[in-house]
Amino acid sequence: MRLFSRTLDGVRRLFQKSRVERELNDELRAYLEIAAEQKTAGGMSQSDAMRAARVEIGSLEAVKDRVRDVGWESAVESVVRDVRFAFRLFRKHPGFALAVIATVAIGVGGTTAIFSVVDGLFLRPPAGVIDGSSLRKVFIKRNAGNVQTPSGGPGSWVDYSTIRDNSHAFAGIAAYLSPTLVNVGRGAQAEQVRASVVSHEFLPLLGIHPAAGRLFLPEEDVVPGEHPIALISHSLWQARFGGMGDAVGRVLLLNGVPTEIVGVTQKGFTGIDADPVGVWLPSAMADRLHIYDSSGADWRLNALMIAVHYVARVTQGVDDREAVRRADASLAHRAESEPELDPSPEVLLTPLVQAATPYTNPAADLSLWLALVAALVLIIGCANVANLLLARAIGRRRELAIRLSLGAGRWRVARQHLTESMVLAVLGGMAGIGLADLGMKTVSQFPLPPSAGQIDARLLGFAFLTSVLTGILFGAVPAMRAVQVDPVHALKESGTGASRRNFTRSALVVVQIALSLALLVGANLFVRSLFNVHHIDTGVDVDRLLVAKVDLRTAGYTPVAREAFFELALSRLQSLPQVERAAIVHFEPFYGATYGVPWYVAGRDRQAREGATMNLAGAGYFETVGARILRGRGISGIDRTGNERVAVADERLARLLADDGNAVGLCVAFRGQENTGDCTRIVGVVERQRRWLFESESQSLPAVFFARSQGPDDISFGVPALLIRTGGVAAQHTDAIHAVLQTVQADLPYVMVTPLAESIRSAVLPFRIGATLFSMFSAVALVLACVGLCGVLGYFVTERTPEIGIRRSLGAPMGSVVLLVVRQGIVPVGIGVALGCLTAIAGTRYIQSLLYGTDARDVASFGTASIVLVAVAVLAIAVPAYRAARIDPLVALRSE
Amino acid sequence: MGRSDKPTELVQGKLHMLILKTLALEPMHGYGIGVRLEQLSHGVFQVNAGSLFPALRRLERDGLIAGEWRTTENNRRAKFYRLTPEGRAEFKREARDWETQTTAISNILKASLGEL
Repeated sequence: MRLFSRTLDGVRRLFQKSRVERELNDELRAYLEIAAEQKTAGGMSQSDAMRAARVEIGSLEAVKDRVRDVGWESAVESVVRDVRFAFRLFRKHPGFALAVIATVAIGVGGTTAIFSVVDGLFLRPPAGVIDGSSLRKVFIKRNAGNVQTPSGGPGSWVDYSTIRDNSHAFAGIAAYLSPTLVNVGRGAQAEQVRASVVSHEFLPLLGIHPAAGRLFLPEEDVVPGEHPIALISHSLWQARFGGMGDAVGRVLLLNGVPTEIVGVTQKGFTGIDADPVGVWLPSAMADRLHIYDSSGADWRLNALMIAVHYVARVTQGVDDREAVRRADASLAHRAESEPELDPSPEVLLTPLVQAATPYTNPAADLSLWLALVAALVLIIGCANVANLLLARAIGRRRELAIRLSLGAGRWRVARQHLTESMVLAVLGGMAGIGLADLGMKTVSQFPLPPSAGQIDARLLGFAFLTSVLTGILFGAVPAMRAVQVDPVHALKESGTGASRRNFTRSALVVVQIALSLALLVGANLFVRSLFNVHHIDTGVDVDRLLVAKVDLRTAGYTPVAREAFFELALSRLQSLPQVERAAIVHFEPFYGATYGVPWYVAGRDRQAREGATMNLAGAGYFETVGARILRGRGISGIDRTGNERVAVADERLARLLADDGNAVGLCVAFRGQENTGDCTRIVGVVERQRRWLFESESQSLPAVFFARSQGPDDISFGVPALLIRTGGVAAQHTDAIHAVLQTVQADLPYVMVTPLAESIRSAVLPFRIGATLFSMFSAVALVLACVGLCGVLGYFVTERTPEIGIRRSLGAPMGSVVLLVVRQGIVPVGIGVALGCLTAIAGTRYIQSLLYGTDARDVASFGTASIVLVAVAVLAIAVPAYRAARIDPLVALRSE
Repeated sequence: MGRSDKPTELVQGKLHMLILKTLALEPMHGYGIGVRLEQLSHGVFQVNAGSLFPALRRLERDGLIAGEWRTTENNRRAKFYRLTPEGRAEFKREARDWETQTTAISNILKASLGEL
């Protein structure tokens, strides 16, 4: 076997290196001697013959190299040798090595941390699913009719059964509703868990196995409400049942309905969306568990109930386009019987990864931007290292020239250089993994799901690949430069630099400065946005408020029992020392939903189009949330049934009611009252209350707050909230207040207590993440760029030391020497700032959608960024300039 | 890299076969192989050390030739290479292939329309 003989031969040669070398030397010497011998026989003198033979054979070293290169062992050997040589060099210049390693570590660490987010959002299928690459999310586009989803969105249950039964588009398709919170248990053990309503194929289609019990059976998912069964997740099983086998068969109270647990899903599987699911329910149970109330009719037969999501597995041999064609055909066929819907809905397939949705996803956009930023920092770092290597290459020119003139192959020399870069890069990468871990801990505080949160093989692979690429990136230019060394010139030269090298290094600095400036501008824009977001006048004291909600309706409370509970809860809350005030309201601040109500006041046109959004506020609500009453009074305890019906208008409605905005005292007929001659007395005007954090002036609607006790059921949907004003930061009282409320009465469903700040957290978050990470990255970039600038100028000064010495001794003033250095530094900074501004102008327009109240071309941001950069650059120039100024002419000249 | 490599490049692929042929005649040291190739080709092929020694290394590694140190007629120590049985078999195979190929190629080159 030739392979065997080669392997053996290679191993032997590796281990008997010195003998092999000696033999090769002997053999070549014999060759020369015999050649010379032949030539003497031909009549040459002995010494002429030897010289002729040597000329014929050329460089002995080159021949040896080529012989050595024959086997695979030589590759191993030379890599080992190069690596060892590299380490020896690093030991000689530890500062240099450390600088490079640290730079690479920052770059690789940052990139890897951000990659973990991008990976989770864009690349990784949900944990636990089998063969994720053949799974698709299915969306449906409807461009006409009563319900439209022009960019693609959910469809109806009928759409799912049509595609499933009447097309051969997929190997399988399953339907599910977006997970919602359900109440589990009663009393002290009550909790809220995310539940997902699924068709019976859902779990088998994804390849999920039961860890205990079984999955749903098809016949259990037919008749609405017939089989109250559920599957629970592995983690809920552990948390609630300690992972005991007898959990299967037990009954769990879900939204007040006793439900039998038939199985536990496999460990690690938490659903296919960002938020982990704890309970799976068959679609036939959605109505009975109040998850989708269809008041008797089976919602699954309602083609207008457009809220169903789908996941499908593609058939082998049927590409996506063909699958879409088949599904479209089946939907179009059925649409003929649905005149109120789009006659030709279109199916849209995306991979089963989180970021793949037809809707805009700010977290996904932001994470891509951050990936870009991290990559830029990595590139800036590479430029820095390349600069350091180039600078060092000057010191090594003689060494190289000697090696080249001794016959070392240029490829060999280049490889040696690249090996050094690689070793540095890989060491840096290893340090970078440590940093990445740290970075991911930072990132994981932001819910940019579903970052694995820990280093795994995938991330390690990524970090390694990045390091190697980095090594190639920063090692290639210096390696090429090294190979271009002309040995004759290099050996003759006294070592002063050629301007071409300086040009490359200055160009690298320009690139660094330009990119840093662009990042600084980005950071500035995000910080400004964050500042603007924090200074939004929300009209309520966000940080001091807690919101408590409990769904009593599904728990079967009568309206009387419900009101009794609220009364009891409010009086308990008001007796707590940490509570300043508490009040009830139907829609808590930033709830988002609106409930329109027409209004009429004698002598003014009824604003039919505008109407007003209504809310129901309890006594002391405005004082509790800290909303300013501009005129009149708020809702108080006297506003009860039997007394005159009262309401508080917001400033916008007040202006519609009365030209001067003073609506207090007016009696306005709202829905239903205009016919009976009744009206509601406006007793006060309150400042504008936002429905969501970023509601703009033009989006805001006139609002009216009725006294809740005069009609607690005037709004038919939603769960009333208790607003609790605490003495300090509300969040720290969450658990204590929850404990109190959960036990106000026996057997309460879960009482959810959350800080109000939590509800705007997700809205503020992208700005926080953007501002924090952009600032961090741009600071690192700035430091790297300025270290690069400082380094280049430092070498410039070193190279010019003799010249400066001569100038000074000929009487040049110190200022002219400083000016020489400053000029050398100002040029790349100037060009860099100009290029950076252009880059930023080109780039920032794409982040406009991620900003708030800030123009992407905000002059102040560009200005601030430029000033910061120039200020730091001046420092970077000052250090070498100072060094140049202190050059002692005598010493400088003597050193030459 | 230079002009000196040019003539050998003509036989680059076949240098191994020619070395095997040379050694099939009699065991020989490196210099001798080079001289013999030049003689046999009437000076067309000049094999320099930079090509010859790597080729010898490869053949030796593959077990087609074996080297041993002996003294020349002028009493110098040199590494003599000889064919191993595998080498002899390999040479026969390669020579046969080469024969087939060259016959085929020359037939093509000699072809005229009349033969079709």
